[in-house]
Amino acid sequence: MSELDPDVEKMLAFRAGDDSAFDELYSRWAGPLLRYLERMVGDTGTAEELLQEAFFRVHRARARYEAQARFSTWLYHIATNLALNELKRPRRRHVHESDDTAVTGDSMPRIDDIVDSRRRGAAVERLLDGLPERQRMALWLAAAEGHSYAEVATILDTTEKSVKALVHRGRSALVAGLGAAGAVVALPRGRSRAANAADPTR
Amino acid sequence: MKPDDELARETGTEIDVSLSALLDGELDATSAAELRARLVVDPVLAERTARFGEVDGQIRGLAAEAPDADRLARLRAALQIRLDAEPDGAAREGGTDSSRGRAPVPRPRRDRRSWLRTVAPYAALLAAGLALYFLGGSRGFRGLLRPEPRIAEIASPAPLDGPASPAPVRDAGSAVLESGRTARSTAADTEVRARSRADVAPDSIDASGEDPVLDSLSDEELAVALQLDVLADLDEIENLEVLELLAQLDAPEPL
Repeated sequence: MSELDPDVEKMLAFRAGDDSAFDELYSRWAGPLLRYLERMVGDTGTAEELLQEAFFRVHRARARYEAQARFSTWLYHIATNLALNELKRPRRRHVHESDDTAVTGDSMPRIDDIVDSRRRGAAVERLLDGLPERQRMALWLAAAEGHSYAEVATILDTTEKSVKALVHRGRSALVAGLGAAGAVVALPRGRSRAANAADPTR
Repeated sequence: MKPDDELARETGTEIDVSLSALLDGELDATSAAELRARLVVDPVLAERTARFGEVDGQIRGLAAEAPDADRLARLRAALQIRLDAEPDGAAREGGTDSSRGRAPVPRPRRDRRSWLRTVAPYAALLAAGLALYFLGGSRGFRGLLRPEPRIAEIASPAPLDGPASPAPVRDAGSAVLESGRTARSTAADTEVRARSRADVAPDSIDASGEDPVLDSLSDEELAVALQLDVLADLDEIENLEVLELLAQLDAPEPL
């Protein structure tokens, strides 16, 4: 598969000394990756820093690059790890307060607020931001970026089975948030915080 | 749309997970065909699928909002500045990376020559100081600055009317006092001693050998008389006591 990926060919060309190939890769992926990072860390400035860091690492790793997967999978893997590390920092905890908790109760916006929203897209955006980070990443990568579950598993360092569950839970949470008028948006209830933490699929 | 309680029957079930996978193109051909056939006859499941599709459409709409081209160009320029500024292989510490392309974080290498250049003057200064110390013998640096007083000079009393010759107390005291002050203090000391000997008759010195003039002077007065610079210096005060002790030794033997 890697050999068929035109971005892999560009990366190999960059490894061989074609600096313009790096510019092409940046032009192709900087936009989607920036959107992804903004969605994941919830802060524009931080997303820009992480974007620069991700491409910086790609640039510096060119001599040791091996085409083992699609270029975008490798790039998103780098960016995802940077984002996850950023989210672990205390100063970033306020951005997505519900990272380690179920999307229930006070951690999610009231459904009334969402229903009143003039734009349904804005409601989805808020609901998406309220998802646990790995659910958010998995759902975004699969539904928005079109990555396969196998690629998402590589990016998130997990299994395809876990990705399948993460995507489903994230998608179900958004459907519930949009559809359940007058109720508090919630993932399947009854899950304790400890249970969420113990569940590797979350 | 169906009521939520009706849809909820499907939520979290295996069919619901499969439905999500179908939307992502992750079902095998056989399972996908079976699920599509069920959607035709199951309106609840079809409704659920429609909601999933709506959410996916909203997410794709968010993803379709392309960042401003100028913004991306600015970020690219900033990246290039960093690439030009930092040595190859450098990467911000923190964060993990793929083993396929992880760039090690370099540690700054210290220039050994610059380190030596920094240390060398201090080492030379230390060596010179030690050399001076050992050359000075048991008295250390003072031995270099003033000769060791001979025992005979300390033991023999100075002539009473010999202002030019240094009083024994000064010779002995010079072993204790800072040599830099010795020359300056000698004249004043001699003056005090001359005054004491002129004002006070030898027989006025009591049998204990104590000099009543010296005894009558406070440390401060004596220090002023000796022109010591720092009166508050405890070392100087101690030295004054030594001076007094040596003055007693210098006193004439009682008849």
